[in-house]
Amino acid sequence: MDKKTVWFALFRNVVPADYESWMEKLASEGWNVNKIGQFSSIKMTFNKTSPKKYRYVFDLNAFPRKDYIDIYKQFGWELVGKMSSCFVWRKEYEGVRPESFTDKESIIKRNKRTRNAVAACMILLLAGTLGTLAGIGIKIYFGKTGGIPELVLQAVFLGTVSYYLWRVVAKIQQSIER
Amino acid sequence: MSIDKLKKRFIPMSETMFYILSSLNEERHGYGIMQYVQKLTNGRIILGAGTIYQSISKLEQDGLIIPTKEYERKKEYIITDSGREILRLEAVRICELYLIAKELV
Repeated sequence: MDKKTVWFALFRNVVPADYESWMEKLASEGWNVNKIGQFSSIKMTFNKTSPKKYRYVFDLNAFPRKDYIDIYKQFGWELVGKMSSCFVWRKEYEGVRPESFTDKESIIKRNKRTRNAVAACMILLLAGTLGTLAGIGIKIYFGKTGGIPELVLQAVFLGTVSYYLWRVVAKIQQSIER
Repeated sequence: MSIDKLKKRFIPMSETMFYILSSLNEERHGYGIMQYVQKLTNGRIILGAGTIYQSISKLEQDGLIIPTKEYERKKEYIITDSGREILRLEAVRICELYLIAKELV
């Protein structure tokens, strides 16, 4: 078998440093991606190659300036691709594992950017949940019971996803320094 | 931004920020900054791409450095007057620290 599909890779490795080590471990076993695209957070296809010693870097940058990509490339990083605003870089190496964030301050900043983006999604979904609950309340108040089961289902769904995102925020926060 | 506001934002400065800002006393691009700092610190500090990009963004946003020219996909920057003033104030602080620390040994 020379292909391997992984579903929801980004959702299983929510801490940036964990995502990087996971990709690196697969590379060392000879599983590599040619490109990362918009839907790689959901489905990723790895090809069997010779074992590679890669350093992967996950960097969320919502509004990258013009020289963002150029600076990384000058430092010898290869852009594997991006999922929404999340850039994934890699570099093949021997010896010491190269770093893109070389002091604590910038590692924390990278992690905070990731955490805040997830938190923003969480707040939107939480607002959606509360809005749906308010809708149910209003319907009950006016005695209009039609459509309530659908709204309950919607509230449960939105609420569950918000709760999941809250857990993700907490997990990134716990690993803010690595 | 006023010098007082910049002081609050940048002083005390991280070692990384101090070296990046002082390396821009001369025009340099991102990779050039890394090489200069590596040489200056005898290889002790090797700055990474992400760290340099983040620091340059912050320094440019607050007007401590400005871009000068662009060629072959490289963008060069140089320190501004307010950047020089912040760097000087930080140097004064470090000198004070040095004198006090010297008393302790």
